[in-house]
Amino acid sequence: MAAEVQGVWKSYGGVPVLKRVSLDVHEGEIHALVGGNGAGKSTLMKALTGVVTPDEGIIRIAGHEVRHLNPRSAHANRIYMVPQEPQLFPDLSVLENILLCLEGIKVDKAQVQQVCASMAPHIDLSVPASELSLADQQLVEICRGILRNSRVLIVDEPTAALSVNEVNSLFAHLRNLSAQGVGMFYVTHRLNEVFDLCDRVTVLRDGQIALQRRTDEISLREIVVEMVAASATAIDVAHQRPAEVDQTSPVLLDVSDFSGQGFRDVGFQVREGEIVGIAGVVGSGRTELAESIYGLRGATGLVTLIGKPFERRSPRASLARGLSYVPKDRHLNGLFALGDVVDNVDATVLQRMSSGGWLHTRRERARVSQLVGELALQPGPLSRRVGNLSGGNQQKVAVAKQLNPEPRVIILDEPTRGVDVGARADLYRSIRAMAEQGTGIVIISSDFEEIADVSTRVLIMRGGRVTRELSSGDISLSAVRDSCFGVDPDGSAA
Amino acid sequence: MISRIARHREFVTLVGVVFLLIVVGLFNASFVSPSNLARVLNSAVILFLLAAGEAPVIITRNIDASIGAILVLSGVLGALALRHGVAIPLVILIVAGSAALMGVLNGVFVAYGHVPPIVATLGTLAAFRGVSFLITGGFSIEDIPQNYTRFGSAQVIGVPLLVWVGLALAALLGILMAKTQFGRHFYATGGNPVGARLIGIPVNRMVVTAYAISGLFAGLAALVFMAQFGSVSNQAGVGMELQAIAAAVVGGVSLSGGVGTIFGAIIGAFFITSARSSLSFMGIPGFWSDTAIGVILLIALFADAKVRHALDVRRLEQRYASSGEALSEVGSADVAFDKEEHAR
Repeated sequence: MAAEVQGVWKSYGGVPVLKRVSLDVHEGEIHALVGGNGAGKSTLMKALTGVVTPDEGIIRIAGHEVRHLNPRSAHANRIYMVPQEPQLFPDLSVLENILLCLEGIKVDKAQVQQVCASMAPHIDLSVPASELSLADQQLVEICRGILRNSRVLIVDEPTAALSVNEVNSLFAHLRNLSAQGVGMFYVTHRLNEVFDLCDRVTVLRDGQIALQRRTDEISLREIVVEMVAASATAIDVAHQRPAEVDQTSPVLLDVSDFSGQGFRDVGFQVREGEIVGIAGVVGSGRTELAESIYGLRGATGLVTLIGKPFERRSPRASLARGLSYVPKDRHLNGLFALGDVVDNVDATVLQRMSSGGWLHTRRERARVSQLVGELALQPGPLSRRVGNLSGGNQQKVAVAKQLNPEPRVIILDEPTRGVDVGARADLYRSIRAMAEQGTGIVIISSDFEEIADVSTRVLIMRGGRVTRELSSGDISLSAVRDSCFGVDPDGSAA
Repeated sequence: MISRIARHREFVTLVGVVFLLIVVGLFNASFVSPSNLARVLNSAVILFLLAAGEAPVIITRNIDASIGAILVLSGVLGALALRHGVAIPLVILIVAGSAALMGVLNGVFVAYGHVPPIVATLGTLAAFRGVSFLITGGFSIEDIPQNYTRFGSAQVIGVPLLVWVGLALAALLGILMAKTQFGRHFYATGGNPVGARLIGIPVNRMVVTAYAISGLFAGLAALVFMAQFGSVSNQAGVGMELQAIAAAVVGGVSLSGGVGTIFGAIIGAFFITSARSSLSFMGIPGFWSDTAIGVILLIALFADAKVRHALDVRRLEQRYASSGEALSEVGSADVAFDKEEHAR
């Protein structure tokens, strides 16, 4: 056994992300690790590389239990991870970047040059890493991983930015390493690669192992079904999909020929009272699309908001004209964690609530109190620090903040990520209530069940384009899931 | 072009120094006489030791605002020791050791205490100055024994001995930073802390070491100060930290971390000193020279930010351009735009 984790438990702020997971990799084995967003793949791999310390559980490397693993001792134990996002040193040369990573390992220059030449022949080793494209940076990361002479190599979604030839070259190197006895974890969203490259596959779902099988004993469809199974924690209120909206009701948001960083030629409409779900896997361009409509990024194309063309987009203009956006990462973008509930919820409407620069505290509090009441925020004083609330309640505050300007259209990006079941139901209830009052709603999510349950219409995004539209009658979990992964109804990959 | 300037900023500064000397020399030839240049060099020693020490801290993406205070406190300790007849080698050890220790204290606050570097070192700046004030009771320590101060006037081939010593020490540091694996770790720590941790570099220890070097060099500057002036007052080194930071930045050490050389910091220090002395040589009052230093610093910071921004923009364009290629080539769903956001 090259490496083994046993009964690993990890939670963040009381929310478990890994629930007693046990996993191993043999010498020379390529073990695929798949699962949706938030399934716990990254956390598990970070635990194995010492970046994250698990709350419970044992890590064994080459048969020996290792305690207090940190990145440095993981290195000493010859465990190496090629990270999903290239982590090069921008101002050092490519060669320095590679050599820095190989300290304490006997590697001769010829070997470095040979690997680089076969993996990335077009890269000049003397230029600073900052001058490389993202794909080339990823290649340099992979070269490091190959040269590391590891016992266990973890490769986290390496092919996302690579071309076909580069992927082939990578696979050849990985097979070569496997023949030399290196055990590998291969994390991926591209399920075809599981069958092309890997010996065994483990599906993680909600922090637990949903399935573990040899790849020659399983079909693509079985994997997909296990990745995104209908959950047992169904909440009744959330499971009555709203009726289709009359196609003659007024259009609130009209986007056409819309292209920007990460998406191309997107067009769709949102009518009064409609809940449009946008589904897709990571990197399909959903968030970029939403941010561009809201005015956080530049894009070309035509946006019409409530009957008027919306040019010169900016968050300020969006809020003023009745478009709100709840970003997906509430910690990074959505909340002021040190502020209290009132500060947060009022941040979007300060101009309106104040007169002559003074804040109208009493009026504010009344309005905030009403808003968070509608969202069923955990009762308590409004002066609570938002950073101390649970994930679900934080999300409610983030939503309340964007509802405060009384938008006609609201875009919610991953509204229930890291949110517990109860808060999820509250959020769905509020979303539905808003739609019934005539608000146009866009929900972006990689939780396909959520999309299937909540939406009145679904757009599927793949590779930056809308590839399919499902009207109310066609929406089902399997339809959404299969279209997102490009699986045909007969079970093969598109 | 942009990237070439960004990569060789120290040479741009060097050209600036030469240009400055020529211009002032045209007005007044005696400014470029060997004896005056030696004087300028002599007055630059303290600053270039401080700037050389500051550079590793800035390279690890931190800042040290306390070096002026470290200079005073370690200098006070050294001067007292000399007056009590402690042997010179031991005094050197006391000054350098106490200064390095003060640097370690800064580093521990920043790396392990997670105190923002500017706050931590402004705090220790006040604390160190306060302690030296307590020790001296507010008086300056005069009468440093002659057997020590004669180092201050000694000359070797027409250049003060202390200039040679300072250059040698700075060169040692320069070699450590530029030519050793250990030195690369500073650049890695500042260039990408997350990546550095991932490949097993002890990031926190590198930060503490950088601060220790900064403290050590402030101590060396204190030794020079004692030899040159023969006394240490509580006002010694006031404002030197800002000049040292300015010198490093002017010499191409980027405040965003991961970039710059010790050589650049020294050239920057020499530029600032020669700018100062040329102003006074032309009969411009002293308070103007402070303003001039401020303006130079602002221009350097502005240029630094401009160049960085231009590089960032170009980098992103390139990335998206090639990601777009990958998109059309593979025609697959999983192009990594999400990651771009995090990477930024």
